[in-house]
Amino acid sequence: MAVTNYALYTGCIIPLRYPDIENSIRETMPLLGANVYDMVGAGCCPPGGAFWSVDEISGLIQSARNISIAEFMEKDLVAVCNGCFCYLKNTNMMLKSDKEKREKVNTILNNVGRKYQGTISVYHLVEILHDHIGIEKIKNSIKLNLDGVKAAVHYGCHLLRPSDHLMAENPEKPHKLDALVEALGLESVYYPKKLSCCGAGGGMRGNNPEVTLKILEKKLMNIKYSEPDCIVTACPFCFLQFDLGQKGLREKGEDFCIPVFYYNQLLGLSMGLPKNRIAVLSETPRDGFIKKYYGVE
Amino acid sequence: MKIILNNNNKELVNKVMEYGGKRVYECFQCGMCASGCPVASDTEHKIKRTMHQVTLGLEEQIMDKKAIWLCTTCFMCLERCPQNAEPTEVVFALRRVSAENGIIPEAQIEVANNIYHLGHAVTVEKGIKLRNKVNAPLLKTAGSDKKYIDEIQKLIDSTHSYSLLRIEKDWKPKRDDVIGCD
Ligand code: SF4
Ligand code: SF4
Repeated sequence: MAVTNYALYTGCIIPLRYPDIENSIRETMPLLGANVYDMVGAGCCPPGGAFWSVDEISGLIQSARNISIAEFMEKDLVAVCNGCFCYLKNTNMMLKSDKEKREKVNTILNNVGRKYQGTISVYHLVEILHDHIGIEKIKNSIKLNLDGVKAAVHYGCHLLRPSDHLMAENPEKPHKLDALVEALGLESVYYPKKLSCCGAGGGMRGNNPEVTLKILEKKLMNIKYSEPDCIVTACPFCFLQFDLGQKGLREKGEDFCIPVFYYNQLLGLSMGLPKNRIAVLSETPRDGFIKKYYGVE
Repeated sequence: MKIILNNNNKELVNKVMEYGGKRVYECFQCGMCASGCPVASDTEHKIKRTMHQVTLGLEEQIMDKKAIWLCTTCFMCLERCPQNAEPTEVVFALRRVSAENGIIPEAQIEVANNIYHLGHAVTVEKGIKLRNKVNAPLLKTAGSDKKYIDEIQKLIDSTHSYSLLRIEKDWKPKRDDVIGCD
């Protein structure tokens, strides 16, 4: 099996709030011929709500520092969060083409002994799985087929848009995550406004907890329309929004309790990897789903 | 409310263009942006109106409501705008103007201080407990070692964001909740 190596950029939410998702990525990818290596010292991407919203150069510098770590490893970077992907890829595109900005960034990076060179590519995990590894290989890697189980796939904004920079998907008709979910046997169901926002990003979850829940509720109403057995995403912030947000809505007396999975968690379970490392942490219960369809406690 | 148009007030639009909203004049007020905006019907953030307010120089009307901070940066408007006026970039530019005037949500100051002091947008201590619970490998990101945090601090120190995001030298994280990350 051809093996490819990547620098794994984990961000903040996965390593520090959902490390079971991190385990699921670390354990599934090598089984598909994609080895992932730690980016030692990598910091926050940084987020659009704070740094990018006040000063472009401070966003660029922190992003460029992260990219420079992967450059030093001589490996392409794989982001496992939509927000990280969007800002790191944007930075990479911008600095590769804009000499003036690149020089400005490097003058400051030089003070900490780092340099942005523009020698690597930034990918989203979905691109690695779909474009580099391929659906066939994933189909062949699973032990259990979840035939007939219905999944509501949520892409999340920053995997799709702005599409002329990210170029990961067709922004109006994305299909990669659907295809990956269907490779596990599940049916990816239609629901209205599938490409709309979960309501977490841009600082919203912190800036206005009321509005964030309102937008999520609308999203969930649309999802419920298709009566899925689970929600699947490949972004930890969307995951968190669905997981904690449904709990928030339940506390207000609403009836939302759809199990949520990060894609590699489902993939790992389908490969027969132990649940107690890869699918443990959630506020919206999933154990019933896992027991019913995977037969494990 | 009486609105007095001052067409000589080019200060705002010039700043917006300088700060990244370069194509704001391309807007022809078709409303495509607002039609796909997830917050348009539930908040005071009305992106189509904002685009026009910028070119009219209505700075107070935009800033007073602080509604630009309710954009989720979903980029739907930017994706669909037939004029490629890049409305999301206009929102970012307006936030930069707002931050210069000292108006910025507390939550973002919290996120920025977390990043400055911990290397991450969220608290690390709780993260390590969770890592142990699920047998995750040793943390190797910025939050694992002070020398990486020092590096990040040095970088932030040399930009405007240090003062704009009101970085405090003595900072205790306020909560373990995830306030924001993208
Ligand atoms: S979609 Fe573009 S042109 Fe139309 S109102 Fe919005 S910003 Fe203006
Ligand atoms: S980027 Fe902001 S203004 Fe544009 S559609 Fe999304 S939430 Fe609305």
